[in-house]
Amino acid sequence: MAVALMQKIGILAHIDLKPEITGELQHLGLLHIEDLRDLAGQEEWKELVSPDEITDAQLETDIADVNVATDFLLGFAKKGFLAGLSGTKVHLTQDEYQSLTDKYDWKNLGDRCKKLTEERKEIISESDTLNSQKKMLLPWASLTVPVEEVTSTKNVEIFAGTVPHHNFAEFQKGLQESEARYYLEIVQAADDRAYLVVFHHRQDKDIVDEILNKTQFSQVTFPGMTGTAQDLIERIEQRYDELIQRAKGIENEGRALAQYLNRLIVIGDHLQALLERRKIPAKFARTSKTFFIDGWIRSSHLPLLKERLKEKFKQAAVFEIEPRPGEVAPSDYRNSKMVRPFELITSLYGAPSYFEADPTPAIVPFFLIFFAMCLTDAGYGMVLATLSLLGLKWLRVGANMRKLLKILFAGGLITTLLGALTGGYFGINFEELPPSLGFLTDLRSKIMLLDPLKEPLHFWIVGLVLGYIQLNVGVLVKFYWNLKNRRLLDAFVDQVSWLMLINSLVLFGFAKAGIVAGWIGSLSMAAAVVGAALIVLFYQREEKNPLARFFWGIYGLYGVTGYLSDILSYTRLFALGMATAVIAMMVNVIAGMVSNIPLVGIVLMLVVLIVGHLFNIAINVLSGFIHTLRLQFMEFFSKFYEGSGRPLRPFAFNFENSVIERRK
Amino acid sequence: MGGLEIALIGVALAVGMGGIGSSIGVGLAGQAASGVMTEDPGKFGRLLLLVALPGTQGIYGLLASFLVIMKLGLIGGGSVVEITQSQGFKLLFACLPVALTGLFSAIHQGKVCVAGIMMAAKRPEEMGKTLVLAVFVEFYAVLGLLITILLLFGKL
Repeated sequence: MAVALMQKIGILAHIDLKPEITGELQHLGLLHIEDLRDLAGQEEWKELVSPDEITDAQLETDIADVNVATDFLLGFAKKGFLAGLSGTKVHLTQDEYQSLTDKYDWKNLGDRCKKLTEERKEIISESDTLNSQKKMLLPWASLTVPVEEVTSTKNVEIFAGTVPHHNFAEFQKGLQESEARYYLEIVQAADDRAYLVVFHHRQDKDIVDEILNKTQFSQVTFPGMTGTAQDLIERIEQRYDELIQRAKGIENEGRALAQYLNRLIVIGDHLQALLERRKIPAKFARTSKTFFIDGWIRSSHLPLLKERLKEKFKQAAVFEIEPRPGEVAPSDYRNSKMVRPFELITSLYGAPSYFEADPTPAIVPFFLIFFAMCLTDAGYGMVLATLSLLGLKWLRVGANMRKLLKILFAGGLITTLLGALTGGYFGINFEELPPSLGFLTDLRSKIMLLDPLKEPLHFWIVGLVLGYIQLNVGVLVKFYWNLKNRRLLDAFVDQVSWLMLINSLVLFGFAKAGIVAGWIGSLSMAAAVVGAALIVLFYQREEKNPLARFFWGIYGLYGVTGYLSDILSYTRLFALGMATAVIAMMVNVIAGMVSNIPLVGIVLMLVVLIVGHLFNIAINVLSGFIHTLRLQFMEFFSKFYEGSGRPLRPFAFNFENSVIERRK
Repeated sequence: MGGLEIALIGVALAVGMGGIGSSIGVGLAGQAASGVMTEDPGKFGRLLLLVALPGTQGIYGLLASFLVIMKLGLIGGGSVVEITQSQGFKLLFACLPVALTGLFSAIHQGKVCVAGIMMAAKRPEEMGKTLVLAVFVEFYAVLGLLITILLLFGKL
């Protein structure tokens, strides 16, 4: 329940040791280093810290180069859909990592990729230009004179241009009726425009220009081009083919180089970590001869850190220090191996603060059961468990994805169990099974406790009761935590009062309904009154004015409605569980219908069954997961958990895209 | 109009309104996701969830329609169930909760998802929280579905 114990430490050492000590700390990966620049406002720290960032230009360029190369190669790497969806990472052993970062000369590969990237960019931009030139030249293909000869002489203006089709008649008529001396060569009529070469006497420029303007003539020039349009087009096509060949060459080379992609990815992560190491001293305090690191470490890790530093560095001192006033330690989970995957869920909401209970162990049973209730199909549970197990085995994903897969695996197992108890197996309607399979029906009903489709109300109530239990557990956790931290008044007034009130009201209801004996009802009514009184009297215990305090207390009682709506919120379990079951049934009915189609019926039926059920599993795992999350976050956590902690982030080799596997 | 025809209006409404809502919601989210992916196509996997989320209302509608179709005996073996006009209206009304909540919640959920996608573009690590926010809207469609199912399973 509690988070790991933290110790604040300081490391003081000679300034010459800075690179080695930061290196060692990064290798250990245990120390959460605080940024002492935050204290720059305080007199005694002002001289010791400097607000400047530190960086390493060489590393930054290298990282940029690696990124360009990685992006280039990523385009050629084969990546499956599933791998893309789950975000696979490069996995390698410590030894492989060591030899890669020590010996591998990535610069050749990096430079080559960079060059290819640039070349490809040039090819693309040149082929764009060629394409647009070709498009422009195509209508002039039947012009027999070389384009550079479409140019004015001493007395005659000669130019090419186009006129919109619908203006062409007007254009021609205008020229005919005018006094201008002209000649028109119609080259081509295409895409709503007429392509022409206009000849006219220089003296008639004004008359011709007027007609040209009126008919939206637009002039076309052929800057820098020589030869006929046809020749030009052929030359462009030739050049274009050359470019395509070169692009293919690049493509082939890229595909061949893509086998080194993983190495580059690891190098990229490695360089990034080295850059982090270069940057981290900005957070230290320093004098001319010494530097000082201020940080947090798990108490259990402290001896190791001390031993390592003492062994390697004579002129370094590690000492435990008191936190500054108001400073709260970062927090880190401390859970058993079974519970650890679920830390993912807690972290999604917010890590526990150092003085808070870690809710992770408490959510495990509820999360699994609720998730299973949203599916309630043993067949689906088995499919889910199998798929997530395969994923764990074959997908090379990061730590968080592994946690998720583990949760899904456990969820699948519980779903199988719950599905058997509710008689759901791929939505099969056991009443319609042929009599020869009757033993299956018998087996099912022997295991089954409750059939949600026959008794939906009971299934609903099961969900609500589970929710009710979870809410009580939530309040109890807070009660326990208050007791443990010696906040007795809070424990009794804030938690016991509610436990009494809520549970007594429920018991009273049972008594009224005749489920429990009448005297229990009267007793619980009394308990409810006591609980309510506690709430009214102590809800606003800081309030000085007794009248205001009383009315605030009455308002506090209003919280009962909150509990009511919280419990009703667990209705979603029932609705989602029913939805899964009914869609599964639907898939089977549709499959049954298509099976009657002659010839292809059986194949179609199999397709419908497989696709339909996988689809149903996918959407219901998704919505089941998220709705269950919400129940933890909103209904459960609101009773005892804030999640305002700052997680421990040790200075380490934090890799984004690769995972170093520990030796087994 | 006979009972069967009236009941079929309910079938059409449940699947139609849920489908309209979902297509609007998924459409909104899909556009936003495409926008984000122009910058970073690698986010596809993460964004897919947020885009798919407003799609559930359509499925809820489909589910309710399917239940009515089954109840009427329109598919599968056996003959069509004869129902009176009054029973037809009952089935029609039973479809309304899921139809109405589906239509509106899917659209609004789509909007929440759009905002979530924008957030995921800048802070991908916070995506879980957006998912939870989007589910807040969906709860009301779940409630609608619940009542529709209860009515259909009940003594109609």
